[in-house]
Amino acid sequence: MDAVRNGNDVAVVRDLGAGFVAASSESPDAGTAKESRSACKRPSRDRLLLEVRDVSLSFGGIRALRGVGFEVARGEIVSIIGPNGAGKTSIANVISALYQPSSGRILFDGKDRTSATPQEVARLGITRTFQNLALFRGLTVADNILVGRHIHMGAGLLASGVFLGKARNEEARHRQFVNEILDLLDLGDYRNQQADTLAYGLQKRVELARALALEPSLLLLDEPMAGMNRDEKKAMVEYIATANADLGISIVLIEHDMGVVMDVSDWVVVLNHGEKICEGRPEDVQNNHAVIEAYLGQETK
Amino acid sequence: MNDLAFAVELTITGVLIGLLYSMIALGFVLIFKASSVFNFAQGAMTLFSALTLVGLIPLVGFWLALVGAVLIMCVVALVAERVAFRPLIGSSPLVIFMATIGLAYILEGFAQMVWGTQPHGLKLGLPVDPLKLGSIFISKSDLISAGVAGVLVALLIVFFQYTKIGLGLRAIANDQIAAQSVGIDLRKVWAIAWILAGFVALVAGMLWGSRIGVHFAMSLIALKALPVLIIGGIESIPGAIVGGIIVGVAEALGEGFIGPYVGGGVQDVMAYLVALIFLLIRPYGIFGQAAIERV
Amino acid sequence: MQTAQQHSVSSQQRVAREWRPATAARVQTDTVALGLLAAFAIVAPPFLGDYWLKGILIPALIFSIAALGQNIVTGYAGLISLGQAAFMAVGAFAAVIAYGRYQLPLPLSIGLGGVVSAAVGVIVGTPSLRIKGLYLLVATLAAQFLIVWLIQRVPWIGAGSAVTLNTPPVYLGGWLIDTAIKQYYLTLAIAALLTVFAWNLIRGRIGRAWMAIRDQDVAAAVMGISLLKYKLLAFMISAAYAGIAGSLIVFTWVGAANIQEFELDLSIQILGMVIIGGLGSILGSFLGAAFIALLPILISISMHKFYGLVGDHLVSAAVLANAERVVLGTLILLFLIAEPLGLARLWHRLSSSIDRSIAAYANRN
Repeated sequence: MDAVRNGNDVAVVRDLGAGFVAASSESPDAGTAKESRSACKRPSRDRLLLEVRDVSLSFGGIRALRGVGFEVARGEIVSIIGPNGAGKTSIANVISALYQPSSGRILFDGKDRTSATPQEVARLGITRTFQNLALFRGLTVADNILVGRHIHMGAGLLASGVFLGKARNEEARHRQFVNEILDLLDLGDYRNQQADTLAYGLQKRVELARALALEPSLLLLDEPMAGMNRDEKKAMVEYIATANADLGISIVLIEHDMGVVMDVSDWVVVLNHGEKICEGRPEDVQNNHAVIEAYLGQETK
Repeated sequence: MNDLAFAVELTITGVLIGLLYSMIALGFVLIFKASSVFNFAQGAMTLFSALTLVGLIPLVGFWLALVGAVLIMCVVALVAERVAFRPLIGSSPLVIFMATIGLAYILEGFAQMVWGTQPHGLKLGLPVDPLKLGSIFISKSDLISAGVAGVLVALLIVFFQYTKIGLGLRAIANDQIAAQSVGIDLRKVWAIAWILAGFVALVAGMLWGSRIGVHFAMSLIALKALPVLIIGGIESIPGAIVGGIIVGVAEALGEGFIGPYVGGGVQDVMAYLVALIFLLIRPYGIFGQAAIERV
Repeated sequence: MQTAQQHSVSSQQRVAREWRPATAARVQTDTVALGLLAAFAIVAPPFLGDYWLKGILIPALIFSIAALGQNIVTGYAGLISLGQAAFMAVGAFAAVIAYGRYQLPLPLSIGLGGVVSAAVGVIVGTPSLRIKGLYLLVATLAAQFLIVWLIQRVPWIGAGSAVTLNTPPVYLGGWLIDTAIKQYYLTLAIAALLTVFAWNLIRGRIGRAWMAIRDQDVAAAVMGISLLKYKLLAFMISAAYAGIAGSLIVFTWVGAANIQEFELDLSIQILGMVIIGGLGSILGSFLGAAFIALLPILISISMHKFYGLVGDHLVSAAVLANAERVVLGTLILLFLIAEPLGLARLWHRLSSSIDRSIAAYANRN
């Protein structure tokens, strides 16, 4: 995977494409993948992919985050939960470098990337989806996902403008890659539809596809199932499981649906009022007094 | 010492002219606050109203012409709001901005078709002799114009801060949906904002007209309200005032001290030069607030 | 996030939402019509008089190039710019100085017009990372005034509020470009090259990055697209196109660079071409430019008809010019309200409805 991320090398990309096809055919039943994962224990701490250390964020006198810290190891699904306004999206924005933390550090793959720009973070292999739909509305589904291939393509101004040889081949190759992702997420039928003409649930799925096209090692999903019905949620859970188990992508999941969170997570971080109030295995967090308090407190409001 | 006196004289003149810019800029702020529309046509409205006034004066005399011009500006403002902007509610700000460019073209073309393209003089009976303070000369007519502009600016501030409609305007600027839900009638407030902007355009047209005559260049002068707003901060009333004065002073000093070396015309670009400097070092202006979101 | 997303709303979000090239459906009529148009552009001109060439076809092509540039920055990258005329001026003066004063070959001079203008475009676009929307607009407006002002005052260029530089006879290699028909074909060739180049950019990686920034700049950034790089690139290409258009004004149309032709009004007209022709459409750039080239003639004819009816046969140039302003302003408003995708969209509708009728007719038989 790492080799692929760095290069535009033809053979490697083709191989990975084949990997995608294999992945999709291997996992018609994502449930199996999930079970095998939840069976395994939290991976050892020396394989840390992301370290959020003591991050605070404030703007306009409001402290959105106060000394939040947690870790994500390779291959894990870590969920961040908490009532509305707890700072979940803020932490996602800090990780994807849309916000600079006021203090604290963020390490990715052991290296400090606290002051990186969003596009640098993307090139490191972190990408995300958004709570509100954030598709490129004017582009087709395929073109949306092709934007996810941006960092893997290299055609410069002149090559693109002349569009012969190298640029043309590159475009064709990455379109093929996109086709495989479309198949993987069952979006093939919508390939040439303009993104914003799709139903809401499908748009969410296209966003996931776009993020996967970037071949991230860490994927942030900000409420990927918000506003979905049961069937759509079920499908989305399967796609996320596929991404995690078969493509080896570590995931930070922000989600309100506790059923989903308890099912898929290896580790759960609970935020309230911008502070981490607890973290642990799903079953431990579920019984934690402070967590119940935070949620009950919200319900009585 | 001579230079100093010259500088003081230029500064005073600059402040006086700056108040005229402030007034035009307030016309922009009015519409911007009410509807988030950046009204490129404010300059064209200024030209349109001044041309209408000087066109009517020979026909019906000054006072009737003034009344006529006020009424016509009301009609223009209402028609513009209804025909051009109501259908675009919900469009992106840039689409609406482009629509105001269309409106500007219509107003400029129409006014010049009806009243002709040749420059017209406009005599308001302001004194022509300068006021002498020691070795400093100040134009009395500039002083009076600035006074009128100052009064109008003060009235607009009072209107914004203390009247019900002004409160409505500010509420809408804060949050359209919330304002609507507490019973503020958006359309009524918009209509009033446009009428006020039309009225400001008329006063500006009269004052500028008496300074430089009424002709097409007026449209470009009124356009300088855009850099004024960048300097002061787009949504800010004090910003419009301070920005206007900065531009006025910068123009006067620039023309006086730099102009002779570069063949004049410094005042045509000074506003934009200052605005560019602000855009580079403080893009949201003196009184503006940077959006929290970085991207 | 909310605010960021609202701010990122671009000039044609509405636009883009409604329009998608319905590839399968419109292939036939569209292709046939464009083929006919291309054939007309190549074959017909020798049979048209100089009035047609110099009065309509050459300026329409030149302004199409400038409008293409405007469309790249505004229609595709979603950045508003009101400085296209100033970039044209930079190109025109750079090219005429290179060709006339330094005797560089013609292709190099035209290229230089594009390159110098592109460099200025990058400088003007620099604030676009920190500011957007209306703030950026004022920056480009400032550039428009400052550039014209500077060209009028730098002694090296020629200095004077009406500075005009004439070009010596225009040679391409050993071939003297002196008649309208030669000028036309040279313009056509350059326009064709630039159109293909723009079309390739738009459908590839760079064009997608522009449209991604236009539609959702935050999402574009987390996909690894450098906002600064692609915004500057859009400004650069846009200004280069304007610069080449400006140099063609000198070499194939007017024969001189005259600063008074490059005022704010022209910038507004080019923006108007793109709005009327179609934001985010290459075809639209051509339709808009052609439409605005034809507009004065249409107005002149109809005004004369109208005044002829009321018995007055003299229509002054000033009245015509102002009538043009009114009509252009009205069209800009009408298109923004009723058809934000402009003439290009109207054409696509027409062609696909013809396709459908043909298909229906074929099915019946």
